[in-house]
Order: sequence, then structure tokens, then C-alpha cells
Amino acid sequence: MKTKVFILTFLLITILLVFNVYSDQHPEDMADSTCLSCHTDVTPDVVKQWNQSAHGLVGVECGVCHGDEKNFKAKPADETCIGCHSIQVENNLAKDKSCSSCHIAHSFTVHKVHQYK
Amino acid sequence: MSLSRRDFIKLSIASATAASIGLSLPKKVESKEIVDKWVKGTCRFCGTGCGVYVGVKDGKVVAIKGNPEAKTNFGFLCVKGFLAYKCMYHPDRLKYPMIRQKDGKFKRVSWDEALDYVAKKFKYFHKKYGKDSVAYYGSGQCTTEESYTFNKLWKGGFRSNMVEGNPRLCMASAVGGYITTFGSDEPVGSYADIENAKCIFLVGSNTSECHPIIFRRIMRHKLRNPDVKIIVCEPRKTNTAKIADLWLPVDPGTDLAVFHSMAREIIKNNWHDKKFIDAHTRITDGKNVYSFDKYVEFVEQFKPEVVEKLTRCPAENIRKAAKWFATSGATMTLWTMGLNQRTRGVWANNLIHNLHLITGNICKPGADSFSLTGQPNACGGVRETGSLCHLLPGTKPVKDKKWRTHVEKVWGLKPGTIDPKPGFHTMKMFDSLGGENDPNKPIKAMLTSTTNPAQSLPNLNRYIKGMKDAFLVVLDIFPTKTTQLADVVLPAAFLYEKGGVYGCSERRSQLTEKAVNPPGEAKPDIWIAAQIAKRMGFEKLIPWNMDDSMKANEMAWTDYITVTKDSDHSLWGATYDRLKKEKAGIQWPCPYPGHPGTYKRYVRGMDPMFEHEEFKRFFGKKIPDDAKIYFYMDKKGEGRANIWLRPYKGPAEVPDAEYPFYLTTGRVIAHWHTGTMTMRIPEIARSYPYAYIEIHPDDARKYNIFEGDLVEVISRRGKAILPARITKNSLPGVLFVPWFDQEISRMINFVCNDAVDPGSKEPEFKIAAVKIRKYSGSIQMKEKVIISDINSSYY
Repeated sequence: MKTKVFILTFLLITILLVFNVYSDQHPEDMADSTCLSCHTDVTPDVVKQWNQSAHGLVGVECGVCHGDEKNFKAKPADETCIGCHSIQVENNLAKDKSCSSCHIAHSFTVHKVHQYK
Repeated sequence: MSLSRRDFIKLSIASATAASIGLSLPKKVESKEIVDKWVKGTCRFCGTGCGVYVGVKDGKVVAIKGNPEAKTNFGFLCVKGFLAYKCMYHPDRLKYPMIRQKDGKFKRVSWDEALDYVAKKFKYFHKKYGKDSVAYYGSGQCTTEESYTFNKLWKGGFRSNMVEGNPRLCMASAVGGYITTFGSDEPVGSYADIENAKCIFLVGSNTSECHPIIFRRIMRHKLRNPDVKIIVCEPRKTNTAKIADLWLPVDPGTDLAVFHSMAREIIKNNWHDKKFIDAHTRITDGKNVYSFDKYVEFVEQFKPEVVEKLTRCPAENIRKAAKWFATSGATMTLWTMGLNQRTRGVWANNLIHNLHLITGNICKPGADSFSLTGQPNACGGVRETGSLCHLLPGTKPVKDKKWRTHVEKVWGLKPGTIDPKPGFHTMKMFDSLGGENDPNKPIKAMLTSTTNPAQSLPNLNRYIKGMKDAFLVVLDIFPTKTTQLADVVLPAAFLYEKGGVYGCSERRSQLTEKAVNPPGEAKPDIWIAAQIAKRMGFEKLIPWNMDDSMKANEMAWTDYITVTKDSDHSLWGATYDRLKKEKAGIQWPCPYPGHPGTYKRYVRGMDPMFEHEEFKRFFGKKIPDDAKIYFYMDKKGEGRANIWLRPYKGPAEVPDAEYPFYLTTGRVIAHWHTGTMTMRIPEIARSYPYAYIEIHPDDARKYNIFEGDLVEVISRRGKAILPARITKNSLPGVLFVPWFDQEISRMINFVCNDAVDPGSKEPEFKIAAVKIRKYSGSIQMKEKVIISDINSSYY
């Protein structure tokens, strides 16, 4: 019985890992286009949120956090955030959470909502 | 730590489940777990001077984070800065010295072979064609120690002033402006004035893309203090204008009239500071000194309505800008290439200083006339070490006999060694560069370091042949358009592979420690310079030829601060040991150990030169005891700054029937200069994978051009073909193209004008008259072009 559970669990993990790989794959070939040239149409709300955020104002564009089609990341890693927000990354009290787990993409208004709006 | 099978399964399931719904569980975020060590340094890119920490793991750079204690960026970095390390390990890195063979291909050689060959050729040219036949062309991206070393080798060793650098193409007009107005180069104040300003005037600067971290400070200041007025004066409504209260649109090169008009409005409304004008300024045209009434009479011709017709800037906007500039309480102006890369760049700088002087917006918190430098070490490395054809260390002219004698003495040279005659400025230098068989080209050889003139010079068609025919030695980290013309390629170390000092826009020198070793056989430029010096008999002059780059850097730095010890640019208190310890670097003047550095110049109590007896003795300065503000570098010895009567003069080329458009060029946030580094970083290259031409919808309609169509842009000098971006953010009749693209058909510098400012010798990159035609419909673009093959040809 124990062996059966172990095998089933192992299979489940494998399947989920495959999904994980897929989730970090950009769904379209980007050809020669920039991110914004498509996403302005396909995800206008996201682009608007980003555009009004501090990231939008200082030019932290899509690829900086998400990479391009060859190194696409659905969720930015803390290694990216540390570039500007090293104190926050290193002093993160919720050690089990990455920045993007809590900060609202793409407006980043968790704790400075009044300043950004 | 042991992990039970149960724990393993629990962790695995949690991880996989989270991943399947797109959640990332925490990675190891403790700095000590990401890297083995963080090494203090400075950003490699623009002139802001952001402090960084370079993360090293297993002998490689794996991360860069902002230095929260840095006074420039407070821990923030732009997208180029924190991703810079990703280009360091690109497979295209140059790793071995190479010499071009008779068949046109490069062959890998040993360092000894390469350096012996270069030294032999230089000696040959010196002997056959004279001391000025071999030129050095450096960069505002070299470290101070490197620029100083090359400058010393050329001027003190070869006795040649054929020393130039790419700051001539970006900051020379700002230098000219500061020297002609205040008597000394570089700003009076600091970035700290941003947070104290009540009005910020951004002119000729797309700050948000070219100096993103300075923009961040301005943005934060504005968001926290909505009453602070932001004025943007530009032909384009750039991303910077997003935070502006007022946009002054102007046709390229016409803003001199706007500045005079603002001065007129300020005086008409009695907003000027008469007391400051009387006490600290003089009105001059360079020949005579006049009363203030003469200035009032002079600016009267610039009525806002008249200026509107000339510039397309609405009269109402000029009036509002004048009021805000003069009455807000403390106004800071920041500018870059939009003022400098002009045939009247020095005048444009003077007129901005005029506005500050007539309103007393200088020498007090929040009020300053501040030139943002384009490159990370144009100020520290080239301006301050005097690595231009007419200068010596301390930004003093070679023709100044007293200073020349002083430099010769400190360098241990015989009196009369340094040539008092300036060498050729950059455009003349490249115009004089050519093959041995060309009697019209007196310069036969050139060594370039950390720059890419075969892409960055204006009117390229005129200069490519000279570079190709001459003996060209290139020091760089990647193959570039310039290595395609080179005879010898010497692989250089990246900043974090060698260390050194960078001095940024606010007179701040910061030290970068060496973090890792360079790849292959790549070497620091300072080592290359010292090895050439050794082979040419100047080991005594440049003794820092050891392998340890930080040791060599320290020796060069100490040599440099000794020469400039008692000058107004003194860094005598900024010893190497101290720079290593300082978290935020030091702002000059810093004339003695323990001095904290200077936030604001020319103000008693802030500027140490008021009490620096050796300085006053050497330069013959007498500062009255009761003077609180004193422009002590005033050439007339009166402690006054000049308010200039500069007549209006437009650009060298204006649109006409045949070439009906203005073309202006610039940078984008994602790319640094010619894109050789940033185009190799996929995360940012994706945002701008190729250059484009911005065109107003009204113009696009006339030419039947749609978004993405290919447009040919043609000037009297050359052409380029680029995809159209239709935008209302440029004025109708004004086109914009960024210059980062290495694809030859899109290289806009073929089109740019190489006419130079008669004072600063800086070319007018920013303004050309052009015509356009629709070349074709939209096609898939050749994107993210980089040069990987060292043997590829230029065309």
C-alpha cells in the first residue's frame, strides 16, 4: 500500500512539474515584436496598471521581470527585485514568500498606494 | 540537515502544486545564500554614478544590487544597471589579442607579440611622421586611472597632445558653458538640490530614459510634493513629460530664443534678483562689460509672441515658465545632450546659467544650473584628468604656461616637454586620420579604448575610410563596428574585472573594487597602457605596469591627485584607502584628508577653497573676508559670474524645400550607446530590438506611411532605412531616431551632421535637415543585431 501511494505521488509530482515548465513558457512566438506592441491590445488593463506605476514611470519594462520568449518567467524571481529593492528582499519578514507573491502585479501598490496614484 | 521521505513528499507536492497554478515558492533570498560575497562598485552606464554591490558566486558575477547608502541612487538602479552583469559572460567576449593578417583575417597572438607589434608600429610612425602622427581616442567609460595613464603617456611621454575622447561628442559644450560663465568646469551644486527644489526645469534631456535614477528622484519629489513645478522643454513630448506641469515644445536648435524670452519676462515683471546681479555678476559679450540696462535692452527683442513664431513654443507657455522659474523659491535646471550636441551648445549652456544668475537661483539649496553628464566617467576620467587635446589634469589648458610647468615638475619631466599647442579636436582628428600613402592625412595611427567611433561619429561616411586605412588599435570587450576596421584588437576587462574610480555628474568620485577575473586573456586597459609605455621607453613615467590591477590603479590615482592637489578640483583628501572605505564616494573639492567633500561650490562655509591658502597662492586668488558667495575662478579676479549677451543663432542646418524635416536623435532606456553590451542582454533587448523612426500622424498621412512601414530618411550626408512609429509626441515636421542599432542600414549616424560648435568643437548630432520617402510596407525586421564574427566586414 505504502509503495503504491509513493508511486502515485511520484507520478503526480511529475505531471505537475510538466505543467510548471509549461507555465514558464511564453504562449506565442514573439518574432520581432516588443512586448508592449501585443500586450497593449491583449492585456490592456495590465499595461495600463504598469504604465501608471513607478515601474512604468522609470521604464522597468516587461522583459526586465519576465524575460523574453527564450527565458520567460511568469512570476519574477526575487533575484530580479533585489536589483533595486535589496533591503526589502533581504529583510523580508515573510521568508516563505517571494515579492511577487504579495505585491500586486502590475501596479505594485501594496504599501505606497497614495503615492503612486 | 536530513530530510525524511514524508517531508520530501510534502515539500515536493507543495512545490509542484504551487508551480502548476503559477505560484513561485520562495527562492533563497538571503544575500549570503545567493552569492559568496557582495563587492562595492559603481554602475557601468550613465553619468548618474549609481552605487552598486556586485554579487560574486564561484568566481563569477551573478547579481548586481543597488547600494542603499549611496548618495546618488539610494539603492535604486535602472534596468541597464542591475542587468549589466549578464553581458559579461556572453560568448562573444573578446578573450585573446589579435592582429589582422594580409588576407584580412584576424589571427590570435600572444600578448607579447601584440604589444611588441603595437609599440614597433607607433615608434615607426613617430620617427617617420612626427610625434603627432599617433593619436589616442578614449572614453568617458574608461576609469579615471586609465584615462590619466593614457593622457600622461601621450602628453608627457610622446610629447603629443593628440589625445581626445568621446566626451568631446557629449559634454564639451557643458564644459565650455561652465568655464565661460563661472571660470571653472562642473556644477556648483549636487543632486541633493533636487529634493530641495521648488521648480525643476528639464531642458534638452529625456531624463526618464537617459538618467532614469535621477528621474526617479525627481518623480518621487514631485509625487510627494505636488506643488513642485516641473517644466520640460523639448521638441518631443517624451516619457519625462509624464510628470510635467508644463511642456515647452520647440523646434530643434531654436530654444536660445526661448531662454532669452524667459529672461525678458522675468525682468519685465520685476522677478529678477537685482541684489544678486549687482553683487555677483557682470554683463558681457566677451569683449566689453556692460550695465544691466544693456542686458534689459538686449533681451527686449525676444518678445514671447515673436519667439513663438520662430520656435513654435506658445507665448503663454514661455510666460508661465518664466514666472515659475523666477518665483517658485528655488529652481534647478538639468540638461544633457539636447543643449550640448549643438553648433551653439556653449551659448545654450550660457543662457541657462543666465536665467539662474538673474534670478539668484544658484549657490543656495535647491537652486542650481546642473549639467547631467552622459557617461559614467566623462567628468572624473576625461574632464578632470584633462584627457582632451587642449587640456592637462585639473581641466587646465595646455597653453597655460604656469600650469604646464607645474605638471612637468610633478611628472618629473624636463621643462618644455609638454607641447603648448593643443592637438586636434575629435572631428578634426578623425578627419586627419588615414593611410601612410595619403599626404593629406597627418595622423597615421590611433589607439581607441572603450568606445565605438565607427558607429558613434556623426556623418560616418566621411570618416570610415580614414579609420580603415590608418593603423587602428582597438581595446574593447566585444567585436564592434570599430573592430571591423581595426588592425589590432586587444581584449579588455569589464569594469568589475579590474576596478577603478568613476567620477559622476555631481563631482563625486567612487571606487569600484575588482570583483572577479576577466575571461580568457583579457586585461585591464591600464595594464595595456603601461605595457605599451614600457615597450616605448616610458616605464619611469608610467611605472604601474604590474599584473595586480588594483595596485596599478592606486599608483595612477595617487599620481593624479598629487598633480591636482592645490587646484580647484582637488581630490587630495580622497586617498585610495579612503575611497575604498567610503560607501558613497567623495565630492571634490576635497583638499585634505578628513575633509567630507563639497556639496556646493563658491559658498563660504561649504566650499573649502575659501580657506585653501596653497590654492589661493598658486592661482593668485584673493577672496574678500566678508564674501559669502564668490566665484573665485573668475578670470578677471572679481569673483563674478558672467551674464552673457549671446545673439540668437539657429542650427547649422534648417529644413528647406528639398530637406523639409528636422531630424533629432537620442537614446532609449534599454540601450547604452551603440548597444554592444545591452543588445546582448535579452531581458532589455526585447523592449527595443531595433531602431525606428518617430513621425507625427500629420506627416505620416502626407507620405502615406503607416505604422511599421519602412521609411528612408536622407540628409545631405547619408541615409538610413527604419520602420515607422507614428506618434503625436513629436512636433509635426520633427522626426526622431535612436542611435543604438548596429544594423548598418539603420545606423542613423550616417545621416547626422558633423558641423561643430566653434567654441567647444562638439558636433551637432541633435539637428539635421532631412527628407523622407516610404521605402516599403511593413516587413519582419532583422532584430537584436550584434556583431559576433570578429572577421565580419563593415559594409
